[in-house]
Amino acid sequence: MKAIHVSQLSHLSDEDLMEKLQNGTMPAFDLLVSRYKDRLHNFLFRYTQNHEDCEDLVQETFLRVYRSRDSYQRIARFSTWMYTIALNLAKSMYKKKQRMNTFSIHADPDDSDDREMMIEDTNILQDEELHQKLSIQELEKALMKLNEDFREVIVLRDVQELSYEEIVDITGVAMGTVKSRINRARIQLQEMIGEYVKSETF
Amino acid sequence: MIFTIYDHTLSACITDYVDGNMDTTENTVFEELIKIDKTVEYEVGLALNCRNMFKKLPEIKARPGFEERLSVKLLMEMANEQINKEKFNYLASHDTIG
Repeated sequence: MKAIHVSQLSHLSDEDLMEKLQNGTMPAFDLLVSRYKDRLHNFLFRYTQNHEDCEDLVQETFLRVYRSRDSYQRIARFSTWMYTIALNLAKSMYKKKQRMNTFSIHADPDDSDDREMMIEDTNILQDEELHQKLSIQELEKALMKLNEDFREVIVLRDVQELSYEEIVDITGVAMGTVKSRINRARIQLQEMIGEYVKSETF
Repeated sequence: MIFTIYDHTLSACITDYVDGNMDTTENTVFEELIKIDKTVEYEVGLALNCRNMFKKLPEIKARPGFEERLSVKLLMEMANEQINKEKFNYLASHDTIG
């Protein structure tokens, strides 16, 4: 795992690196980690809203990439294959958390503990920066409340900025359905965010 | 109450329009539709706002030391692989002898 090896491989595509890894070249794995660690964090954080859980998921994704290296075939893009692993892990963890009822973001909005997060009077939001910050917090919260089918496409599209084709491959959903879900997700999010986000702010 | 379009095709078209995936002709036709249909105009506005808001989400990055922490787990993974391999070879060789 010497740095010099990594630099020698840096011109290779992800798929070429996987081939190297399949042949036992470990620096190829290091390079894949370096290329995708931030993108995976940015993706999986939208499912966990928690840095520790997020890191656990990212680590598990990479470990599964390593463990399943021999089953990877070049017919699929490496990123698509890896995002599929990450998405499945995220969904499992999310369901597990829901069952355990410990996912505080999903707490009942009527619960007094959560009320402090809700801003009742928009007049206090005089400062535009504060307004944007609150709107982003609202967006994060709304994202967690979205139906799972909608959340996965909107995160892949608007957070990860993947193409529709990649989203189709990762989710296994038809193109028309992907596009339709993206639109419905965007509208539902705006509906949830409601009054806090005024079009002139963004 | 926000009116929501559940028309699958129209909904997909709004996404194409908002994401700039229409060609010039499609774009022109769709903009004509926006002019005459207030509901479509409204939903396009919502979708555009939402898309723009996502661009302002702070980017989450790996925390310092991530690769080192992953390396520890990876070494354990590799050690397990090696043990399993040796176990398999041991059993296979004994099976052959037997």
